[in-house]
Amino acid sequence: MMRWPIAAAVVLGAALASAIAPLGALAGSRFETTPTPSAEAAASLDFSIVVPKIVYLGPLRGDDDRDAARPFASGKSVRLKVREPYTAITNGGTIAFSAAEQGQIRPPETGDANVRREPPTNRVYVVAIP
Amino acid sequence: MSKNLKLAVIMFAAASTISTEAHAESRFVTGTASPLTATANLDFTVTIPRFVYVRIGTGTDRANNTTVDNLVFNVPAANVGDGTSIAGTGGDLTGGQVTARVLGNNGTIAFSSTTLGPLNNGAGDTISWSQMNVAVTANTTATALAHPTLVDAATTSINLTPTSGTRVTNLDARWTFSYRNQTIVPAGTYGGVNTQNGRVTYAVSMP
Repeated sequence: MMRWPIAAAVVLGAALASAIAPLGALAGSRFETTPTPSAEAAASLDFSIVVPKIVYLGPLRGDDDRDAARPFASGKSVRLKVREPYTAITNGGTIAFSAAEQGQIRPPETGDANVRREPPTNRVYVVAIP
Repeated sequence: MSKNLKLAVIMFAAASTISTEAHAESRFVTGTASPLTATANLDFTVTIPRFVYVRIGTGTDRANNTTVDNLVFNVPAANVGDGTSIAGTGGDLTGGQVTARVLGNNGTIAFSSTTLGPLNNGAGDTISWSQMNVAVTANTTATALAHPTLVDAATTSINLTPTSGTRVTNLDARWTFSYRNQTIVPAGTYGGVNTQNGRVTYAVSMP
């Protein structure tokens, strides 16, 4: 026969385990009926926010929707057309800003209605971010 | 009569008494009265357990469900940090919308939300929970279940007073989450399935 101290420990342990287990288990829904002294239950929700790496060179954002920020892959460079004055935005670290390919954009050929004529101050820059 | 025999007689008598009271009632009436009546009684007992229930997202009515929904907010490149509200995907109602319900039958319920800290991308960058907006709309109950404010590394709690009588609380709602997108943040995936502080725990406590 189990001795009294051991039996008491077993009963106490079982009581503690039953009391703790429902509180530790998190789920989409939880239903509790026998807690003491207060009834407690918990459910949880996970959140993920995915932010792409972007680079932007151009007028202050909102001024001209032609110059939207562009997604950017690590280790790559991107050619961006800007007008002066411009702003530079990236969320990928220090921008390597190259003027090596700076040059005027050639005006579009006449008769091409789908290409808008740009002022001669436009430049093409090559930027790279980590 | 020996002592043991006396004890046995007393115990038998006691048992006989209890046994008689446990029997169903019946009455047998005779006589010349008219009408001749007889009555018998029947007692009823309905036992209601004390319970409390919380559901956020996928759940089973008044039962446990281990599914935890993951709400995902993909920010378009052209809108990073420009203040355009970003709708989510996922949730039992899809589109970043979840069912929320609290039910209990023993008085005012304390309803809380807990975050471990701001969402992070594992590279030291963070997004505060203040950037997560929630719109609450009615579902099946007259009063919509309010959402406890999300605060970085904190628990916030609201009291849900009984909606029927003095002890029964039954509230639900549709919660639609959106990312406010008010600041330009470094690229990455912030939060996730029980990682990078992406999990919010909602708890109820009833007296």
